[in-house]
Amino acid sequence: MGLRTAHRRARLAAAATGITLLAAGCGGATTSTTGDAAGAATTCDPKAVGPGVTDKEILLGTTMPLTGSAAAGGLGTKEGQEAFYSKLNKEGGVQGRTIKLTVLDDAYDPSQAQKQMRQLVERDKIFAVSGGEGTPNFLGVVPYLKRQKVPAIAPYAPSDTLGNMTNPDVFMATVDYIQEFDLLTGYVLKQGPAKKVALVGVAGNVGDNAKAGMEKALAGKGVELLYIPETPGTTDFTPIASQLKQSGADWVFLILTNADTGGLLQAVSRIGYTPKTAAWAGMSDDSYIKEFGALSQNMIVALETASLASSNPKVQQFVRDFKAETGQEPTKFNQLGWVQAQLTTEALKRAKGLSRGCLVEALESVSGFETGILPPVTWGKDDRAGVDAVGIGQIKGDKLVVLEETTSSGK
Amino acid sequence: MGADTSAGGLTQVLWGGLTVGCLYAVLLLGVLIVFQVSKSINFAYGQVGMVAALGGWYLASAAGLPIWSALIIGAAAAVLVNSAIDFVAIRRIPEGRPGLDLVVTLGLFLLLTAVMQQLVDANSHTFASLGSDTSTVVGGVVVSVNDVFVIALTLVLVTVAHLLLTRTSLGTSLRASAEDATIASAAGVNVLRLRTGVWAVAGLLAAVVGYLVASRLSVDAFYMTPILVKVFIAGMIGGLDRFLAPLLVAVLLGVYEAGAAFLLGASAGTPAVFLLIIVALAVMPRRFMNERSEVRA
Repeated sequence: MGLRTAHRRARLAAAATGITLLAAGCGGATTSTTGDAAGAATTCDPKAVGPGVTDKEILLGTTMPLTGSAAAGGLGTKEGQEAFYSKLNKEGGVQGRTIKLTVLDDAYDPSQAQKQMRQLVERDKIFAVSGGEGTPNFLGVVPYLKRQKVPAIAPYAPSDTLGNMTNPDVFMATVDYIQEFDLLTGYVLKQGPAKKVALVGVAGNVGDNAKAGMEKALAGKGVELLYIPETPGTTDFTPIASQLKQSGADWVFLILTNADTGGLLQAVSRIGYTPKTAAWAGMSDDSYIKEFGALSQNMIVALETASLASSNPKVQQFVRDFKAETGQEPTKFNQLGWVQAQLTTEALKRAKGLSRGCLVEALESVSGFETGILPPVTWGKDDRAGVDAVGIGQIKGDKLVVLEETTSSGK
Repeated sequence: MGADTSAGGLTQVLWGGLTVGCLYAVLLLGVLIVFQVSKSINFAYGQVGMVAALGGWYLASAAGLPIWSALIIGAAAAVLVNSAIDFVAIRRIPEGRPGLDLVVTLGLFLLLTAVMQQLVDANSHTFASLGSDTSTVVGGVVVSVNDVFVIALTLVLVTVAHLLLTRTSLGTSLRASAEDATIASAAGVNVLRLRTGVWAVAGLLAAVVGYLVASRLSVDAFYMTPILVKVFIAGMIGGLDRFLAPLLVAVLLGVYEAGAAFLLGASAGTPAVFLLIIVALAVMPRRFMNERSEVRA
């Protein structure tokens, strides 16, 4: 009997461990990278031909969360890239070649992203990484890309680890969360005096960056900051909501997943606390506003991409082109995917040859490039940031109202 | 990171933890009855609740069905799916293949997730509030209708299940089947019918918990996984072959987790739960960990 019981308990332990690992895999983890400034594929030999390039085709690839808790962003970004390349290929491609894009699922998991990226680089032999979506998963592949000297163009992975010469192969096109929360906090402070503000952020690099940005904006202002790191998959938000209520914060800043933002706002409402809220750019997405707009009335949000309702002719052209390719209205993540492919294509067009060195040289020549979707994009010999501006919007009813067009942090 | 631990805030947090612990207990009740009758662990059990809630959300929001109709259809789907897991997969696992049920139900976990993501979508959605937006203040603690319903439901379900198992002939048949299906069958108990009924009831419990959790958080294809992890932990500490002890552990686990998150910081909740397993295994009396028959229904 004792042996049978022990056997059962071992099975239970295995069951619990297995589910935990599964949950960890779905939820993702935070990885950070370090390294020196050396390593970008910077020598351009116009006659050389990089991997994944044939007379007819250029093979590009990336990984994104296509399953799991973060799949919505990955699927939307993939759809945006595919729509752009489909249109491009119909128009004859670039450098006389069509683009073949391979997007593999990393489930928002850094280790899965590493495995998939190895497959793309070593088995499929992609020429470059076209975009990407998700910070912890992309950070997981950065050291590998650096070792292999594979250029990565415009991944959506805001982090202070990227966008500088620590990782010269990665060309960013969104601000990091330090800049985003610096600008967002600056805007909020301009709206009226505040004695105390709070931040609830995903524990790790994402939350730490947002906190650093807020501290930068709050420096010397005499405003106290309460930071509460949160682990995705929280089953009870009452402790966080109670901490916020007790702090008496005038503003609560959020950088969480859609589901956790909704869960926290429900808990905050349940205990009768009604702070003013401000959040990262993910909350400007239609899919969030549609589902959680009622809980998020008057929330101030950062805008990394132009509003889809913008009168900017380039934005309107994008909306028309996307609808023509897919038959559906675009979302923020479709926008991101589209602009990732657009920037990759622009670099390929400029490249003197189809080697990775020539691609990097072409990327470094991009200056003030207007996509209409992002602020003007600039890279250079020692500049991998791409953009340094965000806009400000507010959730009103079931709409996002643009309060300020993109504002530079002046970095 | 610490917190302001004034009595009012801590009481609110413990009340929230008690409610979540009750949700753990109701889901664990489904795990317990299945384990005790079929000696199987169903990794996909949380996803059965997800099928009900995400399917219910879709029927109400996208297909326009009245919410109660959508919830009833969702619950029926959960009953069917859980019964099908037993009928199609678990029963066909040959004797003497320990661990195969874990592998099979892990596969079903992934299958149900992928199917629902394809049929509905990968986004998170707000669910019917089910009373979570109606509240009153009792002794400085905000108490919602949803909270009271969860706690009352838990008390009723646990009491009914306990009485059913200990005071009725059905309970005797169930316990006989759990002890030795062959002997029970020889004594005239329809073991297969009982087993089917138990898996169906467990499916219904998963649907109820799925709805209540979704009403407090939101619903997507993965939202039940962290809940199921805690439920298995409570089952592991309390023992899946007992009845009241693991349910009590589940309730206390919710309170403990909330207290840890409040006092030590939001990120400390889950590590504190895993620390509890280690401590429980290290300090609990060996007699408690080994004794099968004690505290059983």
